[in-house]
Amino acid sequence: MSNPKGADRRAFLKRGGAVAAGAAVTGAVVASPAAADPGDAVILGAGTSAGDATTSLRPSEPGQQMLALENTEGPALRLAPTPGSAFPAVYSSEPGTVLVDQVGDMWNRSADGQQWGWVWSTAWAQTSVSIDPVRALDTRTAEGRQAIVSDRSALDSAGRLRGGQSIVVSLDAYVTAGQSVKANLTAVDTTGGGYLTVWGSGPRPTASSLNWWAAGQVLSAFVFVPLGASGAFRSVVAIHANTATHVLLDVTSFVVAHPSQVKVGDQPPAPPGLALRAAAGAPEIHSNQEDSE
Amino acid sequence: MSDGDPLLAGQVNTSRSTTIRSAGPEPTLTLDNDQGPALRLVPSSDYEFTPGPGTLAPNQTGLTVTHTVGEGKPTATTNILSSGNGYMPVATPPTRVLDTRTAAGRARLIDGRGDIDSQGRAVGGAFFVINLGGLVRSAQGLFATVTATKTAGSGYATVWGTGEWPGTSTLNWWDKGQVLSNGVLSECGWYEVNGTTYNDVVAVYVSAPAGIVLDVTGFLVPDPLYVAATAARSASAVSPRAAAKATATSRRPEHKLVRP
Repeated sequence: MSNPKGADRRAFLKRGGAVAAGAAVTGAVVASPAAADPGDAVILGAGTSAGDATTSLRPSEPGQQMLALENTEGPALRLAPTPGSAFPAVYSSEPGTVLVDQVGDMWNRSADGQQWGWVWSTAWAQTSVSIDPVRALDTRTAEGRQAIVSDRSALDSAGRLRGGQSIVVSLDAYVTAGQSVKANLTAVDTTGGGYLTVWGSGPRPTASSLNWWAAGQVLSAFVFVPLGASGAFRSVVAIHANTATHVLLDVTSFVVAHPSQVKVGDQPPAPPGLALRAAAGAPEIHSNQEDSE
Repeated sequence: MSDGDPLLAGQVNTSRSTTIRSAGPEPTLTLDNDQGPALRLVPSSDYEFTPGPGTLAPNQTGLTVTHTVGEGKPTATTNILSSGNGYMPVATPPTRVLDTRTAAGRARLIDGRGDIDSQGRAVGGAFFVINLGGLVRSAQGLFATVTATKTAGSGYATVWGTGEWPGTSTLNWWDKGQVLSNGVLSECGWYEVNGTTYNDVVAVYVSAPAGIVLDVTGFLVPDPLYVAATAARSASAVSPRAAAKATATSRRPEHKLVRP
């Protein structure tokens, strides 16, 4: 390509580290040092500075796509991170602005200029994945009690969760470092009026997940609970009963950063280098807390 | 400037489509601005335009990307999910936001305190509005467990968040002396009372006398940052997200909760 003005004033940088304007539109330009005045030609395979000016591509006819980037061996486009010092001034950028901040989140201002949004990222966002229901806990059978990873003394000789006691149940067989779980919680063979509380981290909250009012009842309720970590187990919930009852937990869905974390069903593979949120802390089991339905 | 001329930095360049090709591990094009955003895609008003695969473009709620769904198939355009157009479920430690039986349990009521009898039960036809402020902001919905206790006979409760009473039930009971619960997923809305607007509320209607308890277990939000219990874990202190204002989900008139 011919260079109409001042090619000798530009340094040529590494191949592929090219520079230029943004697609159907603008883009403040440039890669590294090679300074050039606004109005100089952009050189392929080199870095070019446009100073503080914006380089714009505009169509000569309506409906044209302005810029196509094609790389058969690697990425086509890189947006160098916008430094933290540019915030919050960047909020006044024009509609259609796209940037990547210094922690890797992509931002954009909507076409109507009414809002800024940040693209959901596996580093902090989460999505809901439904599964065929799996019975993660059934205190009535030895097999159903296998997921209990806390002290089994909380169970009576029949396997019922004792009144005033709590257990920790691991769901690691079904999910890797999940954020939360949706499930159906059931009380069976109740021994009197009572309730169950399910929680995932910290001390037992003053809240109930399932209530009943007499002995011999079978009742269920949907629960949505954060998952915590306990020792080597990274996806656990704690269950507390204020009166003795058998307990069933049938899991129907996990909330995760990426569907590949769910081990049940036909989930997509994890992308390389997937960044995930950290799990919450372990549930604190205090069986002597005051009970409240 | 016209077709065949060089692209000039810092200028307006007018031409047909320009293609840059490369074949290496480094990006074909890098845009770098150490004082502000690196790229702007000017919204197009030409809706006849059929974009090619890989086209990135802004719309009213964020960014779209066009792709092919198979060889020889037409292209499809999808909206990239972002805090401007989507809601994700975020669980919280169970939090009691209503218990008609206790003074502490009535602390979040902004309407309906007069609909509770001397035994702490909702009266028949009670309408409660619960302020969720401090737990969440700009919630589209919530997950909760609703419980009826001290029932006096058959009845039902409805949990909802916007508009008028929907004519549905969330929890039903059939006799006196019962204690029953159900999981609920409801919209959240905003409510105005005594000249004050509350941005995150949920309502409960109770058809017959019963003690009512509502324990919130999660929210539908654009970002876990909007949930107080998970905010600290969802963004580092240096993340601009943590300092950003909640511009993504302003309340619209149709989100207003209306007394039955």
